[in-house]
Amino acid sequence: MAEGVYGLVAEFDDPDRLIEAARRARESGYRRMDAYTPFPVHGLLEALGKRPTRLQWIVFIAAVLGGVGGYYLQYWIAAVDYPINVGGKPLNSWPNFIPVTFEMAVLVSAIVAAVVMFALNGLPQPYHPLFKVERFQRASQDRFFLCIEAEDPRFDLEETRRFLESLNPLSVEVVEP
Amino acid sequence: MHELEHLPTFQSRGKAIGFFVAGVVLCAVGFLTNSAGFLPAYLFSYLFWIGAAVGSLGLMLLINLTGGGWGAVIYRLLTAGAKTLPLMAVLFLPILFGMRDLYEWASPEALAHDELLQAKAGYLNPTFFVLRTVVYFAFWLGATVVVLKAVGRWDAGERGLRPAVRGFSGFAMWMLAYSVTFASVDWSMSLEPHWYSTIFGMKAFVSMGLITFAAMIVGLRFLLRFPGVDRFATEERIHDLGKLLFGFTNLWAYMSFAQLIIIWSGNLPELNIWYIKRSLNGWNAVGVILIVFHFGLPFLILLSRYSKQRIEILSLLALWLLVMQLVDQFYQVIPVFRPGLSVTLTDVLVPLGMGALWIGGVLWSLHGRRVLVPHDDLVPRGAH
Repeated sequence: MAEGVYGLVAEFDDPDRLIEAARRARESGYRRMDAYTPFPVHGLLEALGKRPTRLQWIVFIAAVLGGVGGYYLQYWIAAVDYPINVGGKPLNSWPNFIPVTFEMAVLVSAIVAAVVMFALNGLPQPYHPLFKVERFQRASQDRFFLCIEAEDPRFDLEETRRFLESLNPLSVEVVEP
Repeated sequence: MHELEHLPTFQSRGKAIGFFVAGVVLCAVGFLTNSAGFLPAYLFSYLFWIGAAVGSLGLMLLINLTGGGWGAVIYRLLTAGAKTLPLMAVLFLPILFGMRDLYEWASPEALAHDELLQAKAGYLNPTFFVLRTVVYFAFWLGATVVVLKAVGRWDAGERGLRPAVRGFSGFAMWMLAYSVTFASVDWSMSLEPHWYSTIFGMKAFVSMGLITFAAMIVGLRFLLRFPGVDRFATEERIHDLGKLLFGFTNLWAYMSFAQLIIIWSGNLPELNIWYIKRSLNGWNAVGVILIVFHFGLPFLILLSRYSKQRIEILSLLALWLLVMQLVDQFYQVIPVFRPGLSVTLTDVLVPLGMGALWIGGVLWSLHGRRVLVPHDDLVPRGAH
């Protein structure tokens, strides 16, 4: 691990070449790396070896809790705290409670999905070391970047640079922290 | 486009004849084992399979309006589905001839002792019923002919046709909503002429959509056996069909529940009779089965992207939803004729037999056609 270095970033002009680079980097044993593209690239996640997100399970649990909470809210009000006979219907009139139960499940899961999505992505993130790389501005236009981070146990400034250059990138630059 | 030229064509006439024979035999055995219970079983089977035929027309109109690659890959199957409409028109004849046994309002004895039926006789009378049925089929057949003309031009290699069929499809979709609403009121809701539900037509419309999507997903699984189809029926498009199946499953639950909660909350005697009949003598169990297995289980399975992207899982689930739709039709029709829950051999054989006839019709018209329609949206975006 090199001191005072965040990582090495390679620039590509084609998404297929980026996927190929990510695949080769992973084959060479690199794990701590990330790719930056102007649009979602199909197959990149698999090439990088990133785990699929767990967001869906969190949202599912949030939906269940929201639904149970929504139902309990109505049950507690209508059958426990202030029981009142409406049209001779049972106190726990479950058909009437379904719409709010559904809405609460949707509301809670939507809020949790948005908040947790930001949290898992590490957003908001006002600063990132890559911002200092001049050419990186084109990551939001027409260029595709692969950054191998210095925290990777296999990272070696010279060897990793040679490896990245073997992938025929447009450029390889050192990223300062 | 040249890849399309190399797609195989269906050679399905022999299979079609096999299905026709099986269909006739199954219906005949169903009739012979229980001739008294045949007509009600025939009616609920018909209400199910007409959904696949009219739904195929409706889905073609929808695809013409919205576009989308998911529609392009099932378009050939949909044309065949809509081409069963003449067959379905013929299969309606037993219902016409059995009208007096099926519909209370068509029986002079019932009419003579029932003021409400007399008041409704201006609409619910045999002559007008036949006339309306003729009008529904005339519209469905006419619209199918127009859409199939465009398909013929696609097959001949013309491109950029969708804008031309869009205008007609918009008009026909509007008419389809009317015809399906009225047909469901006539054929199904009027079984209990004292009762009404304002959401009934909408629910029938949604059921048709669900039946058709499910049938097309099952069909796609067989279509994928042909070489070259997987280049067009990509994971992304299967995912789209899965999402639509999920949407229609939820929509069916929404419509069914909306009908229940409105009637249950109001608790008016002319409305609640439908549910009272279906909560006694064992019928309640069928309602619970529908909630759990038509909605709950498919909902949980379809929540996951994993199952929506895999045709093996999706087609099994689609088949399951078809069975559940059949149970829903059974639940709507049979309590009128049998106050206690019972399932006879005829109730199983007749829907299967009519299904065999329908599939036979589909295979017959697919014969000699290329497996995919060279529709404007067929080639996936980003495919080289």
